[in-house]
Amino acid sequence: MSDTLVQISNAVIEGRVKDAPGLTHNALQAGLTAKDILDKGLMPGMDVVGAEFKKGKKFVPEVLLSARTMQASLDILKPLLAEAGAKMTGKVVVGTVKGDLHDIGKNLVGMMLEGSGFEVVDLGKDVAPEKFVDAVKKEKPNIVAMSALLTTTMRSMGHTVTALKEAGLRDAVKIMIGGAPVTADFAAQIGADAYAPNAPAAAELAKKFVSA
Amino acid sequence: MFGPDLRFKPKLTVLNPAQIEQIHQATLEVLERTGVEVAHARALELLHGGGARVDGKRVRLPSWMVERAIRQAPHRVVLGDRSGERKVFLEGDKSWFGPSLDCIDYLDPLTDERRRFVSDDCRITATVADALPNFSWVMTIGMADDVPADIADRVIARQVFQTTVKPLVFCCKDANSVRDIYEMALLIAGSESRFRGAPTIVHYSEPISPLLYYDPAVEKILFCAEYGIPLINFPAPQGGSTAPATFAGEIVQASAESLSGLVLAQLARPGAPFIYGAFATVMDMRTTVFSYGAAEMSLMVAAMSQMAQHYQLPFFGTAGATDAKFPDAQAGAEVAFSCLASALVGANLVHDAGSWLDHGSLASPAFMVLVNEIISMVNQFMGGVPVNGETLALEMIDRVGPGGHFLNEDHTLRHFRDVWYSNVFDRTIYTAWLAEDGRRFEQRLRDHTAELMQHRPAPLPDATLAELEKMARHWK
Ligand code: B12
Repeated sequence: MSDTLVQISNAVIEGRVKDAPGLTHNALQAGLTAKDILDKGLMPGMDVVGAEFKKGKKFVPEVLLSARTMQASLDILKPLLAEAGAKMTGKVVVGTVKGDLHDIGKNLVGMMLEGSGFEVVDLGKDVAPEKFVDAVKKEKPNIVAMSALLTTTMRSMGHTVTALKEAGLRDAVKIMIGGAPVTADFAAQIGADAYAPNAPAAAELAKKFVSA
Repeated sequence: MFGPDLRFKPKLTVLNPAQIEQIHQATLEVLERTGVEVAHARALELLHGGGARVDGKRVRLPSWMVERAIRQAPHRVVLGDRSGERKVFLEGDKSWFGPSLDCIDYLDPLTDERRRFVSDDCRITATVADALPNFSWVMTIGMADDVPADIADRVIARQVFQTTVKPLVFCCKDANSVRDIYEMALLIAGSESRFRGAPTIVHYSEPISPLLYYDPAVEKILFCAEYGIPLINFPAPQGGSTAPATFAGEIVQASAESLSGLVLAQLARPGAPFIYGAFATVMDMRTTVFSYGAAEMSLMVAAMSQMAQHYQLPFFGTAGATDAKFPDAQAGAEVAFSCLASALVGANLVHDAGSWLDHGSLASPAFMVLVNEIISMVNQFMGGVPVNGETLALEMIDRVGPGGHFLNEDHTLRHFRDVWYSNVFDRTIYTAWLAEDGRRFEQRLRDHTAELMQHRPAPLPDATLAELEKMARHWK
């Protein structure tokens, strides 16, 4: 692998936000494509960060700093990727379901997804099923990610799945869910595709969805 | 009651007077400079009329408004039990422990099976809370998963009213639910004037950190102020996530959040009973968990408790919860630490004792029993060292003299019961323990819990039960 790409990976791993634009320009000048930089520089860096988090070696603020570093590079790459018709990792619509105001977990999931190269459309909190449906129509995401922290609001996740079915959009997206009372069994029960226990796991899951 | 008590109560401080003053000024600065966001029309009107600078939804509170509200609020709140007896005195540095609320799951104390918390579990946890002497008041402990979500908050509140005579601190979804629960409390008290004489319920409402109010929370504050229901305005900031990662910064933000509710309540009705506090803890940056067992939580609770004493406002504290998934060694250590810290600093209404395992998601009667035991130990320590002629025992020391013993002394007979004995902690001699039954701690805790679950709380009169049933039919 080229030196520049290794440097970019390392900048992501070490969270050197300021270095990211310069390194990205260098890489482009050296003739690397935006897609190469994303797939072979930024993403491998984030993979290392994810693994370190899992081992308890990196903590959330450090992971987010790495994600911001990746974003700083992506700001430059995005228009080029679009020009070349190359795709970002994928697009995710995220939201905390109706009646629920807990949004920290959802925010973290969103940030980790961005850190994994996804484009994230955040619908906020207290999001009704119809709003998810509208967003899917408008944004055409690969994935819908719903968060619920209350046993009383988790049912709304099921309502959203039903609403997507009724709108004929269920098969157009993968659906993942999470939050304190949510379980894998519950995901199966309401016809969602998967559950993840925390934000890094959510990002991994999302990557699996788009690579499948 | 007011006789001389020359006992010295053990005391902990984590802030010195200069730091208290600095935190106070910083809190006023946040409210005056940054303010809070409120969308509720009537609240905005009240706040504007009361002197706040209102800019759209942003409400900035000049310091004089905040300081006036602090002076206006009652400096003590007294809660009553079902019979109307004044029981829980929220004043000075007196501590009263109670459980917690809204757990997602229930851990069966006999089988260790974990499953969703349902309404009948609430009967069991309320029964155990009624039986345990160190819980001076109760909460609903779990959330009922087996009834329609819209009425779950009232179903469990009713369950608790029917199962224990102790005062209830409750949380619920909106002002409509507060009204239904208040009506149940009035019915049980017998009349509004009896209720006022010794309120049996306290409502716990929450601003969202940082510095944000949703309409239902505002409505609950206004409703409680209007009806004289003691109100706790209790944000749940987590350091590094919804509050600064520094303890002082988090305390200042949390204090500003709680006090902004005080200002609103005092505008709605001057003298409205208000309890200050915040569930200030840290985000565990390895797991993303909101920690309920962190040492930093106890530190910030202690600091805010000192702020409350400075303001002469009753304080809602947090201790006796754990991040452990079972009532195990970790649970015991975290609980002992937090309960002792709270008692030492003199936090008033201390919630979360023994009903939050697994960072706020799991309830277990066995855990309640363990925590009750730890609070007994704490209370014993808090009794301090009484020093007087009788306790100094100089006559006897002289009489027994070098090489003697005290086993046969009347003085020993008079005082050996001053020592605290546990129902579940074991001190037997190893061989005797083996010969008897060799039960390990977990088993003894389980057995003792099973006994307590047989406790039968005093029932409500049939007519009251029938009336409650009628009320339930109208819940929306
Ligand atoms: C902070 C908090 C609040 C704050 C929320 C502020 C905010 N901006 O979000 C405030 C104070 C406003 C609040 C209010 C209430 N809360 Co609250 N709250 C909590 C608390 C203590 C921590 C939640 C949190 O932020 N954790 C940190 C974040 C980072 O973790 P997380 O949200 O779990 O998210 C992680 C994972 O779950 C996962 N994840 C999350 N979403 C998703 C989505 C996808 C797609 C995936 C894959 C993964 C995933 O990844 C995230 C990051 O790793 C929990 C306790 C707990 N054990 O969860 C109670 C808790 C969730 N609350 C509870 C309750 C009951 C309420 C209230 C009704 C009143 C009350 N008792 O406090 C109100 C309800 C308001 C409403 N209508 O929503 C209960 C729920 C009980 C139940 N049976 O449903 C809990 C369990 C505490 C309790 N026992 O009382 N709460």
